[in-house]
Amino acid sequence: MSRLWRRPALLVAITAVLMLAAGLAVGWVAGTSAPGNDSVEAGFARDMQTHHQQAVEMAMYEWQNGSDPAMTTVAYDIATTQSTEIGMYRTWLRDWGVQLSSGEPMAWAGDEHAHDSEENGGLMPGMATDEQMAEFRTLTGAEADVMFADLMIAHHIGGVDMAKAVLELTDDELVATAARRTVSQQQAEIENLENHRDNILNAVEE
Amino acid sequence: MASKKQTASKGSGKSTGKGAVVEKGPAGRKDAGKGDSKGLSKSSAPANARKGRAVQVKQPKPWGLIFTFAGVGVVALGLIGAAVFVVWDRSQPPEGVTDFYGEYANYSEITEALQDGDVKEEDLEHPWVVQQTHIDGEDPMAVPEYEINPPAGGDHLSQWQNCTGSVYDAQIMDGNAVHSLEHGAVWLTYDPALVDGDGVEQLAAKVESRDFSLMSPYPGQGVEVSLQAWGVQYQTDDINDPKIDEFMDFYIQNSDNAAEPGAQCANGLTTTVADQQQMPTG
Repeated sequence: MSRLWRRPALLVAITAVLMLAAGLAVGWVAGTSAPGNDSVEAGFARDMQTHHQQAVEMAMYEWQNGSDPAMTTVAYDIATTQSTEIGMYRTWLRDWGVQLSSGEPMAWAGDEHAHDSEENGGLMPGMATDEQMAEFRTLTGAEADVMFADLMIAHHIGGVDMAKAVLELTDDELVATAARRTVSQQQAEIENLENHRDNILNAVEE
Repeated sequence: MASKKQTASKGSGKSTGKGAVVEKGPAGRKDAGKGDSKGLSKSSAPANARKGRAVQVKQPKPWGLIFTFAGVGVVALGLIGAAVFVVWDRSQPPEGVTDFYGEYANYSEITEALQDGDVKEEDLEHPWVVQQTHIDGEDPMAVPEYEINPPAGGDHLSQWQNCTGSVYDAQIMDGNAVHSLEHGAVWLTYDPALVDGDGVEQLAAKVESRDFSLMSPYPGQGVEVSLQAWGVQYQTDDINDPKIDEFMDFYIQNSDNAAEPGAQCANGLTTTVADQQQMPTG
């Protein structure tokens, strides 16, 4: 052992290799380096916050004003789950040290999607317009149940599109995992919303 | 006198010991190294003082440098070890758990494979692990049936069972409990024919005041305790089995396994099967 101390060059080399390995190990645990302010990941997280916020708003209204127990339960589920996810996106953005909002929705997803949002009055895919929200807020009971289902199905289809768009563009495992989860969860929920809505409509017809 | 001689021979053994060290192997070498460096540090100072600047042959060892590099090396190795352990350990489910994800590790991996088109739902070993339809959506009176009992995931009812550390003293609807599993809850069931009142109390203590868990009797399950999370199950005939706690620690709100993480346990059903049968229909 003592001979090793007389060879500083070797020592430096060994320590350098060890430090490099240690750095890699720490990086491995901490995940890849943080996405920047203009990254796809940050853009996705910012837009999903806004997108989710409208879903929470709709679901809270339905929870208070709807009448079908299955539909109000789905609404409660959506309000709580998406609130949790808003917290997750916000935590990402704060951890990455990037801005929390942006004036250019869908810019991260490339020209095609940015164009979509222009045609839609600057709204992201699936978002309800102010007019739709205003109309929804005048409804109660079964009417609210049905409009909630329609708005939320469209909202979820848009959310699934956004998640699929980010999956094509990102290598970030954190973001990709969340996006895949959004796809599977919201697709399942679309089916449930359709079934519950059709039930309510059938009951009204009878 | 004898003892002095012994120490002297020990000392000489040290200095000549280097040749013999090779046979001793790594452990012996370590000891020799330590003893050696200690001896040197004691003797080098007075030696220098005695001989002064006349002797320049041996440079003093750069202890600062040595300790720095050694310290950095130890820290680096420690970090590598810790990182490997952390990554490995947090991904390990408790042993003895039956999982229904087939060749996939968990819900996250199986949905990734499905979305990437690596596998089709009908080709899965247990397709129900990715099925999340509200059975009562298509037909309000429909009740889901399950491949295993107690069930550990699959299509379910639109209402979830309250699972805020909820202890039910009578059977609850499978379809409601499975909805709770979708939200990330662990469902503990016991066979009332096999577990006595004290045992039930003991189990209830594990569930009470623990959010995202629920417990109910499951007549005929044939094993004292069965634990369910989405896609996984653990069964034991020992109510003191430490794996019960391990299972709860690992699977409660485990987002790799919950089909709908982030959803809540409050505001679900609090009724048992018997309560529901007493309710007026329609």
